[in-house]
Amino acid sequence: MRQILERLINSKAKIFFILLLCTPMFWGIILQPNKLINEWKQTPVSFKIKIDQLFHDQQEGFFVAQLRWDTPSYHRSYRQTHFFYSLATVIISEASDTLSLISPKRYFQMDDGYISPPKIEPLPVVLFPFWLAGVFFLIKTKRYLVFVASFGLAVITFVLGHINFCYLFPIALINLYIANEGIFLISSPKKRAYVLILTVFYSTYLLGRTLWVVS
Amino acid sequence: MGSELVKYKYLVLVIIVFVIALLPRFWNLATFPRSLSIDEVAIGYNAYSVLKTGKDEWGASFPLAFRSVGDYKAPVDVYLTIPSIVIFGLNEFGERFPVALVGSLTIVVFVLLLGQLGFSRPVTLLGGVWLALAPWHILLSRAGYETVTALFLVLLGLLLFLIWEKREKVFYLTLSTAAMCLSIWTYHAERLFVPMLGLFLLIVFRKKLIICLQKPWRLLPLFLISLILLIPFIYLLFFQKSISARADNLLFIKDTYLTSELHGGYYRNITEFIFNNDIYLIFHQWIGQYLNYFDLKFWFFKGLNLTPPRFQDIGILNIIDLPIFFIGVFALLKTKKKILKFLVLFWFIASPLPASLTGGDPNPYRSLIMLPFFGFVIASGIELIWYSRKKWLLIFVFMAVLVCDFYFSDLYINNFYKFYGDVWNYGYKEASQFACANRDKYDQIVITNNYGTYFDAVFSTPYIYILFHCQYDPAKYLKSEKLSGKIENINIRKPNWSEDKKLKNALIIASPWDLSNDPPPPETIIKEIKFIDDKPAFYFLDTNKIQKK
Repeated sequence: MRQILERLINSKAKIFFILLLCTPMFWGIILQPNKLINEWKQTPVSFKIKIDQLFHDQQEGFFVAQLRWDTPSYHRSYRQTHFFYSLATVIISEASDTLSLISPKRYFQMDDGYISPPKIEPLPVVLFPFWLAGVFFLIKTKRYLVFVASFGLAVITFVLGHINFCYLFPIALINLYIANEGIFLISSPKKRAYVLILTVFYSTYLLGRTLWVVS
Repeated sequence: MGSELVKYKYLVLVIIVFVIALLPRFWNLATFPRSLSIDEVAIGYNAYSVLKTGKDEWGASFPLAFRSVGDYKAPVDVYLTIPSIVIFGLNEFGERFPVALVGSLTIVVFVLLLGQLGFSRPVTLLGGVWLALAPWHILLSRAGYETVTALFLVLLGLLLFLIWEKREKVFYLTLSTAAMCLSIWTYHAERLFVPMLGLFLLIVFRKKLIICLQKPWRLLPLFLISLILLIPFIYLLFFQKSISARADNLLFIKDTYLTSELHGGYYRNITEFIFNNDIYLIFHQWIGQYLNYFDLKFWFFKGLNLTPPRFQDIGILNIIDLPIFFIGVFALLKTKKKILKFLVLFWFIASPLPASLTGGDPNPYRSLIMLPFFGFVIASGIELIWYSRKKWLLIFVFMAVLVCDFYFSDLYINNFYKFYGDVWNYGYKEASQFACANRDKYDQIVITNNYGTYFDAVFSTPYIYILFHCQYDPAKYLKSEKLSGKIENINIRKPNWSEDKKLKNALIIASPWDLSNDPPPPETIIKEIKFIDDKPAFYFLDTNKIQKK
């Protein structure tokens, strides 16, 4: 038994799997496959709508005009307004929503209002400090691919137009991986075990809360 | 001699950085922002009142918390404004001068602080230039925000502490304590942050502090100053409502979304008590507020809220700061400067806490205490680049910073006022001055307290604008009845044109929304104030013109 526990605590893959089982978002996806499939079926349509929305002339017509405004009595520099405010800058501004898709709040506090359980954080918030530690560790060890992958997936989600965990769950998995790396910065297996126990207890509470909310 | 020359050269360069900081903070200070905010006029008039009568507008003698418009302002900025009003008068420049100056001095303190944290002189100067040109700090320095003064005091306190740590002279420790205690009297965020910073410094430098305690009589001035500054604060906190009133207004617990969910101790059954209890709900809401300040979009794209949602904006940092920030994080993780590492980590975790306790969206005004964290990281990034073979990159970086600043200036000077002129009470200055100049001509003047650009969304308190812009005698105001909605014959209320047009010899200053149900005849409109995009803000209606007809 002791050997099994030791192997468990020292195995990144096994800890990751336990963390995955502790995430409400995971169960939301597993138990609602129809929602997931329906959402994916709409991908081509939502992609087209998003692209149309981004590049539509109305963007320039409305947003840009509102920013370039002047009046008969108040003149502004043509060069300045056209340099700073254009369709390109509007698109960049819209695309900055991508950065919000990788912000920790989306994973450790907000539900997506669709597939993850309502009023419950998708990933247990007790993992947030370990996620932070994991981010620092990965930067220090120059393992940037994780962040590039996160950003790339966020761009895909943004372009597909639907902001929910049907598309964001790969980023959630990456965040879980980062939290796992943070947990493994704890050199003592005993302390790592305590962290895991805390996470399991907290997740059990979240599970109970999910059942309460749904009922 | 050589080192003297080097020191002299460095001093000259620091002065140049200071001048660079002065330029964006003082350029047309009286004109931009285009109007004084309600906080600015309140601070300015209360300072004027204390100057003239020794009392604030409510009659409290040299108060430690200014009731003002019900928000109980911290006192430091009000008292700091007094000498400025003496020199420059009760006007926009007089009101804004102290904070703009303190904001510029913050850059000098920041440069020296970077030096104490182990950065080389070129890097400290470049870090200072970065802060001097930071839109976030410029925006707040130009608008009389108390948070700027508070940040200055915190950084000054930290600088003096680090100087004490090196030179071991208790004089610096005393000054450091005084600066930090004063910051608690300056802005609300520091009331939570500074004790945490104090605890952090106590833990990190405990060995040095223990040595200090071996000769406790040397610490007597420090204890005395701390007692003098902190006891009144504790008294106000626990025995007066002035400090708690402000907290009550702003706490995230008062958000309507949360208050509708809380149970107030009454649960339908045991499962609701376990799985939907108030502790979890409050914690869940708070963690959301806290994590709001870790959003990269807020940092680099939409932080300053100079435009409405979905419009392009600017983050609390420039977009060009993004790569430098990540280089800085990498540099910090590799650095051997332990104090710097711990300090940055502490600041990163602790600085969003005060703002996280308030409700609403991430707020750049309440979170200015986070700025040093970004400054330290950016300085680390600059250092890594400076000592690499790609020093030339910094020229490109600072040119990009200048371009970003021009973009910021256009947003700030033009678009911010197009969208939010009403929120900043644009037009009330002219309305107040016209009302005061003509109050002998009319039996009654009515000035609206509800207006707006697109609809009547803004509820203002025009009385303080009247007091400020008319330089109303504070001694006379103190004798008048507060909360009556009147200053002599100037009534502050929403006009009802259908009834008010019957008043004899009256001037009605109304917004277009006050008149939409009963448009006045054009000949009654004797004056109009417009927003900068030509939308009408106020109409001045003379009832005599109707009578004559």
